[in-house]
Amino acid sequence: MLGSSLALRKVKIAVASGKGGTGKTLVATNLAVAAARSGTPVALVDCDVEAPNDALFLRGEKRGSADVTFLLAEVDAEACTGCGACRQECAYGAIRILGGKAVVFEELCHGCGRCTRACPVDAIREVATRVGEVEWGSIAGGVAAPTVIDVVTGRLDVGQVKSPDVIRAARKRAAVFARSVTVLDAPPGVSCSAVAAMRDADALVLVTEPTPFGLHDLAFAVRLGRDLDTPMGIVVNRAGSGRADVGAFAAKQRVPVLLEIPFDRRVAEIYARGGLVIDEHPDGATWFATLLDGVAALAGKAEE
Amino acid sequence: MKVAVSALGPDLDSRVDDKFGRAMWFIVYDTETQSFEAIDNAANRNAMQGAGFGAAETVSNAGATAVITGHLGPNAFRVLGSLGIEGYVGSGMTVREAIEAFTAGALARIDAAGESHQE
Repeated sequence: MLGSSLALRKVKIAVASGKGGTGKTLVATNLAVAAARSGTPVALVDCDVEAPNDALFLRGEKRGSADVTFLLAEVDAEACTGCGACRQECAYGAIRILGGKAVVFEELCHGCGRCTRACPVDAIREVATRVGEVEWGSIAGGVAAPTVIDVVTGRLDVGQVKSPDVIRAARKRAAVFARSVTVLDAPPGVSCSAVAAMRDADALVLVTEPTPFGLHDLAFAVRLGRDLDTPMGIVVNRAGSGRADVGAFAAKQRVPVLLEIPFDRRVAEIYARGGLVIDEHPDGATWFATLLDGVAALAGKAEE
Repeated sequence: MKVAVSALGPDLDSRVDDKFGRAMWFIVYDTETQSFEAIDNAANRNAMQGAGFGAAETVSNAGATAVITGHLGPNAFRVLGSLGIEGYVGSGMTVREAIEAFTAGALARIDAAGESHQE
């Protein structure tokens, strides 16, 4: 049984996509359930911190939450001589000399602290500044029977831009649970935040749809997977809804297609009401068992 | 006083660049001496982020107390405002025409931030 092969060690599976709206959450939540049911405790991390929604499908008992902060540079205008040493040191262009004083632009500051060390008059200090929060809960038994699913949600505050910080904090929290399988529901795209969710995964599940946009953005995701040197497989969601040839692309790139979920109104209906396709669709259990097998094979490849 | 004009080229016959943070050039014109300095805005124009902040720093440190451009993004608008530097609309004019209109008091003031530019 493949579940047991996964249980032998810790495996991190990132569910990602180039294009948004292809079905990452659908795949991540149902895959987490499939893994839990196969006998391995699971942590599901919602890394889509700008629009987290895994917890709508897997409603656990809330266990805790914590602020995510970064160290914002703050200038003491009285002490600042406007020498510009900090401005030179900042790799992000977050400090400007305006009216003879250093001014920090919060959106650009990454909290690296170099400016505080560069300042000859100690006019800059670092202030912990909230950018979001991590919330975690647990489902023991129930849909996760016979094991558990810990659901960790990263949530970026409105108006904030530092998604990678929130994603890293959510993953760190999930690591505390030390579950055999960690499913990382990544944000769409291939930017810093997607990388923060996918880095150090043992396997990547790239969810796409057979449309020109889906295929176009899948190509980016495959390139990123190559850069991260992570084994990957493809899930074609809404198969039959478009004519882009994902199969031909996958064959050319030598990336296996692990699962095709057909374009079926019932899937959309179940998802829209917050249900689990693995339970409510007649083929759901088979689909996600197939995917779990495919993922276990990929993760095994990583270990070789 | 000095006025900074965002421009597509480095001289007075260049067109006003409608973008501020990501303008091609800044022509900093001194109304007293009737001389000007051209500043290449390449560093801000090509920046991934923070072009508005950087351009505001450039014109402020060049001594400008007013800017003429097309529109100001939210970051530039905020920083220029905090420095007491006012923005004026010079769209469609050459730098020379815009400065003449400005000294004649014929340019409209920018009193709201426009869209941010990232390309």
